[in-house]
Amino acid sequence: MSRDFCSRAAGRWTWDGKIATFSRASMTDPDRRAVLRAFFQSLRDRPLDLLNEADRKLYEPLHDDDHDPVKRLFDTIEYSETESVQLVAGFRGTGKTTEFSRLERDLWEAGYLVIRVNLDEYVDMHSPVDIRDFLLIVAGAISDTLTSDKLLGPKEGVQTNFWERVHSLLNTSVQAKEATVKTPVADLKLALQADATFREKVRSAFSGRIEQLVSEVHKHHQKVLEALRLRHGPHARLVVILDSLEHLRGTFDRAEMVRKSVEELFFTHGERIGLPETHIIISVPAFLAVKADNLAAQFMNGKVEAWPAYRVRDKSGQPTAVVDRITALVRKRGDWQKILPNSGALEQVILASGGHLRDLFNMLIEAIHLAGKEIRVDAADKVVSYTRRAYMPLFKDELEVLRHVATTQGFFGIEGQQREYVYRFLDAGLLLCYLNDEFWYDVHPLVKDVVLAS
Amino acid sequence: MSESLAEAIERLEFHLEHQSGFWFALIATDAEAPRARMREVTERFCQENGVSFFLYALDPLALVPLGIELSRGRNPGIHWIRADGVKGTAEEWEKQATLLFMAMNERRDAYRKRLEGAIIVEGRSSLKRRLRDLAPDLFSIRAFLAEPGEEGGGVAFFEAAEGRAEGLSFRDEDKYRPDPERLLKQIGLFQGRDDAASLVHCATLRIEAIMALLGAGRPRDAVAVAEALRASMTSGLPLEIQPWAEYAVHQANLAVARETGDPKRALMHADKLVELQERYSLYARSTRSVRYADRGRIRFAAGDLTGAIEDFRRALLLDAMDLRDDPTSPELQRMFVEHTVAFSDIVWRLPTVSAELFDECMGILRSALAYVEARLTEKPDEMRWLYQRCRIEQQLSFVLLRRGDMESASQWIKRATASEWQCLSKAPIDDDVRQMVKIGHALRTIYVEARRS
Repeated sequence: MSRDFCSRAAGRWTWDGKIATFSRASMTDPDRRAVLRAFFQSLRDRPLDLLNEADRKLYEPLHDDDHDPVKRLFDTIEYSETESVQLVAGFRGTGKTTEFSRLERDLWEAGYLVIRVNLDEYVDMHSPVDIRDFLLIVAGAISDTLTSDKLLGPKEGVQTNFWERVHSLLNTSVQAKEATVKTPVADLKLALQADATFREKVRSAFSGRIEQLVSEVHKHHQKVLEALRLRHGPHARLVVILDSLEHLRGTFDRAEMVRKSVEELFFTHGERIGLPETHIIISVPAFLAVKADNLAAQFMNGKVEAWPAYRVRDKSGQPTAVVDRITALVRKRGDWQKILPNSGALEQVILASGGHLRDLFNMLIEAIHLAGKEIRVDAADKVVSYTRRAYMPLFKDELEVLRHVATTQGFFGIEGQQREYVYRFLDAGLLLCYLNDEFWYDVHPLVKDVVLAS
Repeated sequence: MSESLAEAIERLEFHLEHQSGFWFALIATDAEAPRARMREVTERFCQENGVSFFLYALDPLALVPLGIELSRGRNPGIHWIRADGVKGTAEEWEKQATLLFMAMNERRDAYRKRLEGAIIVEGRSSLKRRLRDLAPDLFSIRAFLAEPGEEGGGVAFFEAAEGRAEGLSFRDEDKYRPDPERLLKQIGLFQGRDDAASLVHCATLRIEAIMALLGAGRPRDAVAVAEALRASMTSGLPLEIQPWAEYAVHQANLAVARETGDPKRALMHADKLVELQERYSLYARSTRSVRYADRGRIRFAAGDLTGAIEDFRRALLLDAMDLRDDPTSPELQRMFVEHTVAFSDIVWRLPTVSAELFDECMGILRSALAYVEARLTEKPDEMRWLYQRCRIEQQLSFVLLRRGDMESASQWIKRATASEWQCLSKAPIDDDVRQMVKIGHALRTIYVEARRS
């Protein structure tokens, strides 16, 4: 494909069919180095904050309206009247944090009050999770953010602190009293995150009393809502975004245990996770997307969304309009013509990324590196080949699973041990998740040829 | 210079020049020379541009504590970590480097927030796959992954049975070493509690914290925790915890005595540790010879060569017994050879050596050599065993020289010299190999002088 595009672009370049490089600009041009450096810096891996003016200029919407997860999340909130629970499967490197910031901006602009919590700061991401401490953590984390001026402000926010309530709740339990009586309120958050023994005591304290715990959390939440309505008017509507729970991942022998605990949290206790008159969005581990259909039914007004890879090709393999949008995004980051010979080369790189933004940016950084000396006519081939190497080698048993997904674009027929492969591949980005009206999956284009040829 | 190395160096220089904030890269190749070349390039770049360069060539077990330490971001600059070398077997390096990646994976946000600079890890080609599969977040944010030495883009796929390192198993003791800071925070939660359960829990945390602090190279902080632990012991700890608590206290104090160069105090604590181990069988079997070897080294440093011989004799006996039960333990394998070399080194330095001790020492060296040769039959190119074989051959030469058996010494010196060249050709810039070559040079000089006299 690149040859065709080279020919197409030949009018603008010197191309004799033998010399494999272009000399659009000499490397002695100091401005060029500065341009490349600026381009490199703009591609550095970081989420954009759309509440920030400078970052807004770098943002380019990539999803088509019908399949825009932010729009879907927003619509579900709008249409669900009082409350909803939406889970978002977090796939690595697809711009999840940036998109959450867009959602937050849109919600504030639409008049919602938004609380965004980074659960990394509250949950031990390498141990099994449990509904009992999860409820306490969620309510505690919400109360921590209420002191923001945009919500209750420092003075009123303190009055709705949930950790005080947790402290007295635990003191009513014989099992937990010993552990909590001398734990200062300020340390409860740390204890729940860092102290497995303390968590155990909390769990045992609420054994058989989960409904009571749910009721206590709801009662407290009602107070929070009343305080918010007093300050923001009787029609104040609250959205809580719980970010980073997808980082829950056990290691070695605990991987299965942690995964099971996540499943239990959402499948068994789904109905207990919601909060009254509040819309909740939780980012969850990617493997839950595989079970999306069953999962949504566990919640009132429940939906399972995903930050999928951007659909640069449709299911039949044809390039989509997303390619043009990504081209516009690249243009906002820097002058791609300083690193790639023509639009065909850029398209080749975009398609090879599979719509996985982090891989795309890595490839563009590699293109900047190659363009340091000269813009090569085969730059896109080189970049793709270099990035592909990171995913190699693949093993025969892995290829079997990958081939199955490449041909069926789904997981039907994959059972037992091979499911573990699927979870691992989703984690590593070897399998990419896409969304039309339903989820579908494909092997990363960088390795798809190898998989199909094996 | 191969094309792939030139390409990797170009890429490295590009990132050194352009990156800012935290970044991570992996240099994955089985060949030592290209890694060394890339290391030199980085060091030179840092010198020329006023950037701090930190090179870590540690034991495999020190990799994870280093990863944790770097997440504090105390030293901006380029941190180059060698995850290969003669200090461990290929399996050991792979396992510990994988654990390092996993520890880094967990701490990627801490690096981003606190570390102004890079972490570059060099290791064998198998690490690329470990990074992808077991540390996917870190893999995802890599700045680059270089494979100098491989031509044509590497292998597309392997047969599962041949390609995958199925033998890489992780046992309980291989799990992450706990982060000392986190343990200290947890201890803080128990301040002021005096109920029995809290005391036990806090003491257990303190023991773990002492070990973690020692692992992180912070013996003085470990002693501070040990003092608090000692104080809590007077309030009546249960019997099953007391020996462990005492053990941890002595370990912390031994580390500080070593740091301050106080052999008397060091010996006192080493004695206590041996005593506790004997009385309560405290340590896992795979490491029980360590206490004797530790005390042997202290006695050796204090000039008590006979006492040191005794300790290493006991350590070797334990190693031999344990290796019989667990022949594939890399830690035991390493200790067995280390203790053999240490034993013969002391024999070489003794003012007078009895015929029995000579025979005993030769017997120990020959059995160690046979053991290493057997490992080399299984893995002829394993650098670690080539290196150890050479060291044992050198020691055999020294002992024979000491005995005055010049003919046999001459034969072993020839073998040792050939082994030196073999190691040197495989790892020309490895510090341990260079040190071994220096010893070889000294050996030959001593031999020539002995011949003359």
